[in-house]
Amino acid sequence: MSALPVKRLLAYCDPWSARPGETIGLHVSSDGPYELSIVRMTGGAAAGGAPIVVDHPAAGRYDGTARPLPCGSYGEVDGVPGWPGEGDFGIDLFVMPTLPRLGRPQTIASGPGFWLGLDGDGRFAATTGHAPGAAGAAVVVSAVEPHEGRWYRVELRVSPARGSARLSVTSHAAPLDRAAVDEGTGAFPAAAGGTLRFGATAAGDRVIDHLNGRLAAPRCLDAEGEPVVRWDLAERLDQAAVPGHGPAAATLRFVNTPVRAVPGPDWDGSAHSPVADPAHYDAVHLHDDDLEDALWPHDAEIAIPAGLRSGFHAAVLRTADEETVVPFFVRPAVGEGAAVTLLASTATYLAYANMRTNTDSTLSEYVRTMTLNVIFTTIAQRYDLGPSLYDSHRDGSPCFVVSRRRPLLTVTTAGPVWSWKADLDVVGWLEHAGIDYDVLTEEDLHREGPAALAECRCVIAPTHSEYWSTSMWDAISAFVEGGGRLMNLGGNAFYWRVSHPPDRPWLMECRRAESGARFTAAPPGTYHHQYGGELGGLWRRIGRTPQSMIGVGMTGQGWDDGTPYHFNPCAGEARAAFLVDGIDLAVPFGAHGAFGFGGGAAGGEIDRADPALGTPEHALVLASSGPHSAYYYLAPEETLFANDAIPGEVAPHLRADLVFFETRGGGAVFSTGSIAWSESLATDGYDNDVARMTTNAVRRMADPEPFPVPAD
Amino acid sequence: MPVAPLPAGWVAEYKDAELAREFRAAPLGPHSPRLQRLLVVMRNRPVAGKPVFVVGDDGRSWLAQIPEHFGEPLAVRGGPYPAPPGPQEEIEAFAIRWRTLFGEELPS
Repeated sequence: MSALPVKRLLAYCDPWSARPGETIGLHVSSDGPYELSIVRMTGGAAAGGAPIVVDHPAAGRYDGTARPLPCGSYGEVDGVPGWPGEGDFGIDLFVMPTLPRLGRPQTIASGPGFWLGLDGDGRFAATTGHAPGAAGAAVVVSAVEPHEGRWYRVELRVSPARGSARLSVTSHAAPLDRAAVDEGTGAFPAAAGGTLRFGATAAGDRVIDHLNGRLAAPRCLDAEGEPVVRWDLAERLDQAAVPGHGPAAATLRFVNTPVRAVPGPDWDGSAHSPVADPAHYDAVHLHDDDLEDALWPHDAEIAIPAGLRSGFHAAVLRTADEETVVPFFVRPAVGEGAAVTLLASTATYLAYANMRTNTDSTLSEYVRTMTLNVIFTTIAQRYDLGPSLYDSHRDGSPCFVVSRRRPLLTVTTAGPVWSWKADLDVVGWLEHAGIDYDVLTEEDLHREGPAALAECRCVIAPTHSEYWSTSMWDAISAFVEGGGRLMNLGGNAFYWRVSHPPDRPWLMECRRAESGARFTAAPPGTYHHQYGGELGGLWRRIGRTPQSMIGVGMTGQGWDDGTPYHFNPCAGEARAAFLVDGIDLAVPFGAHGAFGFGGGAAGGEIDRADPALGTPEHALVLASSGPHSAYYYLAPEETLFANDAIPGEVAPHLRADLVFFETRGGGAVFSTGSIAWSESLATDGYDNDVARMTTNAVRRMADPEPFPVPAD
Repeated sequence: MPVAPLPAGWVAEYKDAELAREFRAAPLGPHSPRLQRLLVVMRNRPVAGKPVFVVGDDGRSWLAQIPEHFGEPLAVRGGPYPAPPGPQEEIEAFAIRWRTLFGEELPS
């Protein structure tokens, strides 16, 4: 690693939220002692809100232990009964290398006394024991030169008695068929039992030499070449364990969550999901930077005491020269919920966590040379932290699944201007306005459904509630239809669909199919999620538009100053009187906000109303922003092909709309359509038009008096 | 570092010492439309080899270069400077872009 500053004090909390009486584990890697304190966050940088130290028994000095991150996915079988046995044996499967020339061995399969993989030059090879390089030259190397992204049928037959191995490799990509059978000699031990791995091998207690590529239809063969066990990788896509079939059936368990539900060697484009044709989806995609669980033991257990106020909390770790802030969320005790619930955007926090794009994407550099702080310097030099949903894996394939059981370096006070750090501005406004609120996470909402909102009257979605599971969407929809009130204070909200596996809530999946503002795109045939089988991508394309939920939907984005809003005539209607109380409708609204994007409260990523996309006919579009600058651009789904009306200065529909509407159950929805809104809340000590309208809104939204639906 | 070459017509359009002099004179702008176009071309080149600034918690800064493969160490090309990067550091970053794009040193 270079001499540049990097973070050495890394940590994560698990779970992310807890009620009084429950416990959160704090998992830490530190190469020296550190001090721990527990704080409640009271505001963001814009507000200057100082965290309040919580008197907690977990606070104090800890010795600290440096811990590794065991990244890299693979499959593991804890022994195939009776195999390999005393006689000849074999193994065969399909392989698609995706980064063949990595300069180090990559394992296809390894077991008792044999190794099959790609050698350091990217050639199919087999040997005894460990990978070539670790234990001498390969016994046999195939004459078939692998190309990345192509399927090959690979069969290894081993005869310990003769000390020989035969390696057959056949290209599966007609009309590019190429085949070779190569043989070599080596001292293969005859042994039964032992761990069989696909995609990695072991050296002592370390798992190494991970594969970047896909595998399909693995089988273990007996002396006659008959399968004793085979695995159908289209089975149990949402689980880590895949059952074996055959006389020596044994379970294959995937570690570090490789990508499932990807096309296999026989995929021909006639099916586009495992549900439609499982035989086309019998493959797994392994990456050497997959990371499901850091597996660090907890240094501290943070028990949530009775009476601890619900809110955004954090564990603050300090060494002599470093500070690390690790967020967690305290929910209210059951039966003690407030009327107003701040919905922490944990799905968005996780989606962006450890984002590599600053140094791994040409799309990240705007206007000036990129400047990295210590967080992004660390991410750039440590692929073992695992990618974000915005990144490609090291082989160029998009990241589909992320985990929160690892250090999330960007989810902190020094992170990017959106995500958790930006939501602290909403926390600061709530605290300053004296609103009684509690906190719920999106992960809680996904798990508990509508029950999570049982005590709540008004939900606040803060700056950037971008990622929604079907369960979350259904819950908030039922809440609003049942008379609940929803305040969406951000932009680019209700945008991408995500999924979680039923038994591992720390994982989240997103596949960006076909359209949307994105850094990566799901390749053909990979549009359906492995967790639940749903079609991935934009909710707008799936059949549920953001406009139908919150009145507005993503229209564009830019990394330039925002603009104020200008009121439309309907802002003067009686229905909106409570919102605009004390606000001058004759002047630009929100013409401030210097902490992030600047220029105005409408900026960053912005959303507009559109009845054709589901905005209710009776919705009031109170105000609209713009014109935005030439450095704002329409989102891809907003234009059918590139043309000269894409920049903000010439695209009137590239705007943030301020929308309010009532719902039939006595509820209501208020949306700002702008990520930058929250950064304008604190201007002049919260004495400004944006804070005033937001406070007007929440006070009425928290009032049990039903909102009447206007007559048709 | 291996970077896909810029097509010859583009080199002829943008390898212009006058543009280099304009950037040296005003690294933070304002820039002429032609220099703005060159900067857009430079910033949209493959990420390997691009210059970046690094700013430490203590306020010191460095000029570094993105490696060919993600996860490898950033190569330090300048610094540590006692303060966040300013106009002179932007010129040094521009010189890296010029060298990467045209294979020559930035004209004076």
